This record gives sequence, C-alpha cells and structure tokens, in this order.
Amino acid sequence: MIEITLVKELKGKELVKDFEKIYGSIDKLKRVFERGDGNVKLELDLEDWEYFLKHPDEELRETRLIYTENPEITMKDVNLMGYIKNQKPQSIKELADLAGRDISTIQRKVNLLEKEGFIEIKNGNKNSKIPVFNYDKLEIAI
Amino acid sequence: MKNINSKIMTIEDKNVYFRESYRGWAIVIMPDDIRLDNFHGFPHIHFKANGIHIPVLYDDANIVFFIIQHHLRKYQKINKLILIKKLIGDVYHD
Repeated sequence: MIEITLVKELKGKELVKDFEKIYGSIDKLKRVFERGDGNVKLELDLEDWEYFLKHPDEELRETRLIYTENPEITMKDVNLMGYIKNQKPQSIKELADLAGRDISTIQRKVNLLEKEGFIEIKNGNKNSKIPVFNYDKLEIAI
Repeated sequence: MKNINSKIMTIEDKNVYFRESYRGWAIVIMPDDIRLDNFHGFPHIHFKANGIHIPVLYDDANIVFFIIQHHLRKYQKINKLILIKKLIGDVYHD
C-alpha cells in the first residue's frame, strides 16, 4: 500500500468561497443542518464557515491522503495534472489538445486519475466533462 | 506550519475529515456520522451531532486519526464497539 498526499495551502476566505459554491449561503447550510438528523459533516462545515468568516486571512494547510495498492501513475500523468491545474481546460478534448495527445488516451487517463482520487470531474456545457485538480503539491511516502 | 491543519482520508467507502487548530481538533467519519473532538474540554466520541458524548483516552488528534486509519484498513468498515473499545483504552492490541 502506497500513501500519496495531495497538499494545498489556502486562506480562510478561499474556503468560505468553496462553501458558498457547495451550499449557497451559511443560512441555507444552517437550515439544512437543523432540518437533518445530526449530520456531523454539515456541523463541521458550519463551524469552519462561521470561524473563517471571522478570520478570513487565517492560513489553512489542506491535505488529501490517497492509498493505492498499485499506482499506475507516471510522470506524464503528473504533467497532465499540471495542465489541469494551471491551464484549466473546460473539456477532455481541450486537455488532449493541451497535452498534444490522443483524446481516447487522455479520456482513459482522466478516468484512472479520477478513480484513484487525484482529480474530480465536473459537468460542463453541452455534456462536456471538466477535469479539476486544485492541489499544489503531491507527496509520495516510501 | 500553518495555523490550521485539514486532512481528508478515503478508505474503502469511508471519508475521514480531520481539523486541528489552536481551538482544538475534530475528526468526522462519513457516512457513519461519527464525530470525535475535544471542543468541550475533554476528548470524546459521539454518534450524530446530538449523540451522547463518550470520553476517549487520547487527547492527541494524530493518535486518534491513526487509530481510525488502522481500524478502517483492518476491517474495511467501522465496527463501532471495537472502535470505541480501542479509543477508550479497553483494547490495546487488535
């Protein structure tokens, strides 16, 4: 089992923006939490949102731990994640063009990276899929 | 080191969220709705946001996180009784 860590550093105000994208507003989140049956993740997000509204410049180190038995990740894939992060392609075709590679190959790679937990896929316009990678560093524990 | 550490760990179909700051620490396991934190002056576990608070032995968030990580790797699910026993110090070897 190999442990891979994705790292990003952000400020409280950036996290607040992320919460706004997910929940709409803090009042909406409060209502959803109060109507629910004690969802502890909503409670955690609510606490963070209230705290970072008061402390927008507070710095946060966010890490995502990924465990994989047999990572099929190559340096080409790391470069691909770089394109996704820095060029922000709005479709798989755009990503394939940026990387100068065949779209079917890129599609397979994107699916693999999503399955392993490295990237997210969001729905774009006209059935397009937008790959998203928001981290700054990738650390591999040996 | 940043003021606040946040971690997300996915093992099997479980997401474990970790927050540590000078305010204290909190760890949430979803979708099981389990929360551990030390926000009320003592480390404890509770099920659902309004569940009863059961004190746990360890006040070090990293030890608690490691115990959860080990538990999930071993059982590939949350066995509440075993996890509580481990966290209150009732099971030293599993």
